[in-house]
Amino acid sequence: MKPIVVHPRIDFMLYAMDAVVNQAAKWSHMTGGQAHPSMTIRGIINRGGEQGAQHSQALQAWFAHIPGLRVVMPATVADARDLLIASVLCKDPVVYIDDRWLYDQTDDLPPVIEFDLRLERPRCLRLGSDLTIVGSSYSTRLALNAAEELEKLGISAEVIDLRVLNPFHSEEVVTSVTKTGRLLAVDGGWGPCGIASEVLAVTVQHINPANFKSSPSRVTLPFAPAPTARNLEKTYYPDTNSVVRASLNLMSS
Amino acid sequence: MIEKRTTYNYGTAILAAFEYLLEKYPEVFVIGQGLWSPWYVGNSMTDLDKKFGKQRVIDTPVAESACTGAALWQA
Repeated sequence: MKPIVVHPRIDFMLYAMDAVVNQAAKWSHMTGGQAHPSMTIRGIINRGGEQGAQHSQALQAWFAHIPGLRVVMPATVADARDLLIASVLCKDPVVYIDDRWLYDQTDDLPPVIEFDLRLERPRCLRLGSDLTIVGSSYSTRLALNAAEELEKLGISAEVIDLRVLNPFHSEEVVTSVTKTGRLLAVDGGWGPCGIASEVLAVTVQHINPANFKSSPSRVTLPFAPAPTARNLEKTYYPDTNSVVRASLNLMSS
Repeated sequence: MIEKRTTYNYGTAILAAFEYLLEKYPEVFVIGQGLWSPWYVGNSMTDLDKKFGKQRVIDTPVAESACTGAALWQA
């Protein structure tokens, strides 16, 4: 069977960590590839709306840390559909994470094509030459919005959408930052040991320091649980302006 | 020839993926909390239980570990 488990809030999926991390992620490895739990676990990120700290988390980094799992985070309407299908058809356990803040995005899609998830990688959604902004899920949306604002200021931003966080593919990011010399990583989770950390790490690992025109930087949540009050939520969550400001800092440093 | 395109939002694109999978692959089933009244997931799961039956779209008690473990065993 090919089950799809739906966790309406990724926060409460933590109750299922043993099944996901100790069982699903390990079976193929421990049985020498004889058992493939072909299951998809959909976890929904449900931020804002004065729901408070226990209903608002973006925990993608936890699952991206575990070998044996695949983690996908669609940012576009096309990926929302086609990466879910690819996840379910994949032989491995997949954590598919969608963010409710993206639900209003619209697009015209061609008929379904079945993709092999193992071949899906990060994608460049916008070409640019001055800096590279890397995001996933809603952060990619912020990166695209910021790139438009930056263009009005004469700054050309390239936007890379990670799409698949586990296994983590670094090639597209490294190629882009080698070209632009500047990196801003944007993530909807916390900074320490998060996805943005990994994006920064692979670039400093693989790119000659002389190629960097400024130190790589990141936009993440403040390192604190989410607030409940609406006015505090507004300052807590990064928005397009946060990404524009961080980009301008990179350009002037 | 112009390719036929359909307008979706992110939520209905997810719904379209569920419908595609449940229609084409009899081995696919969905399990989780509130799947028979999925108001909290936008329009991403609307009426799946009515279209594909309550045996394949299973509403569970508030027991994340149990439903994930049960699904894992089925995989």
